[in-house]
Amino acid sequence: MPGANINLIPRELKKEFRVREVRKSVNIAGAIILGLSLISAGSLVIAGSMLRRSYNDILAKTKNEEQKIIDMRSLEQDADRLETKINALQNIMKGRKRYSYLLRILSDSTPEGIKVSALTAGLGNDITLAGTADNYITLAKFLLGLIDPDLGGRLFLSVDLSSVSLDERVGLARFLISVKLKEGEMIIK
Amino acid sequence: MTENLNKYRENINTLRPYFPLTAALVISLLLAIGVSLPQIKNLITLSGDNSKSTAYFNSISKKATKLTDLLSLHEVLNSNLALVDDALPGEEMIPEMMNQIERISTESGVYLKGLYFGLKSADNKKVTEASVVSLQVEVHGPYANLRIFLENLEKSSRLITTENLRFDSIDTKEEGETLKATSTLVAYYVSKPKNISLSKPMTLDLSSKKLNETLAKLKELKPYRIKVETMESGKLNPFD
Repeated sequence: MPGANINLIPRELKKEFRVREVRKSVNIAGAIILGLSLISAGSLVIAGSMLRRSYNDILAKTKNEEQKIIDMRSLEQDADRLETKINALQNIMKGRKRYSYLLRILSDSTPEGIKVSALTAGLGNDITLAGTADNYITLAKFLLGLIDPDLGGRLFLSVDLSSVSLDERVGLARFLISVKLKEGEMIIK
Repeated sequence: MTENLNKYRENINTLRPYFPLTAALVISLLLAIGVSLPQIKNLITLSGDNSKSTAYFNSISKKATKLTDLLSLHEVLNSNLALVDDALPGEEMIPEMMNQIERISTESGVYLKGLYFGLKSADNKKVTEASVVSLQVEVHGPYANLRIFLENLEKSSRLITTENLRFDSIDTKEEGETLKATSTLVAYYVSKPKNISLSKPMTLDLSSKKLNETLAKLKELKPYRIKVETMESGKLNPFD
């Protein structure tokens, strides 16, 4: 085919064109890189200054709120005192025992012929009773009364007769009883 | 020499087209080192500070709002405080307790034989926010009155806990056959509060069930208010 392999542009000129194109691309790339750098640096500076402004704004508002709280200091102290005491009171009230109730139940459960001479109640759930009974039948009645659901059983869980002896001088039975209290029954509700 | 110079010029001419790119890269690098990186560092710090400050602002703003709301309920707050102050007074009211117990014993018809103060928080007991003071009490009287004495103690507006109890039947010359009750009582007090930090949140809720239940219980108690006045002192010989 005639003219198919004919190159009209000289080879040097072609090379020169390519070089120019490469130079142009390099310059464009440089401009883009520079532009992007400037944009990113500028954006960062602007973002920084905006953030700083918002930070200063919050600081100013905070100072304002702090001043409001300082102005209401005595009210805050009252509120704090009330809350502290209410919390403490709740804890205290949880564990207070009604010893008056114990005495009431004890008197309800004690029949005639029984004389309690000593009572000891401690931190735990056990109490001890010492005293005298006119006779063993009265003592047995007393022991049953202490666990009767309508009498002592409202408060006492179990009763143990620790010792009993007959005092021949006075003709009375001396006893020592250990009573277990129902868990939580004595707590002031 | 001239040949070298020509070669140098030729090289410069070859490299000249790349000068703008090199300059752009150098300027970009300088911008990155001098501006962008410090700004990024600054932004990270600022953003952290900002979120901390915002959180702090929100909390104290909430606190200020709550306090402002409470301002209108100041009277309710004061009446509630009067109740809790009766039940759990300050440290300065410890001596008053003696008079209160004496009054309770007189009212109950028992004879207050002795009152022995334990050291304040001697056994390092502490009920959360309150400190305790323990005292041994010895009262004499009939069974029914001793029961009333204990009941009055339980119903006294100043909270007193009976820790233990011992009853003994005694026979004395003065009183005849009677009962002696000894008991360890525990009373509570709250020391003066320290300065409250601004950042401490306000958690008091006057309408809370917990608070109102406690106040309702306190309202049922009987106050024994005895004011211990300070009087003029200055005796020349205290042993006289």
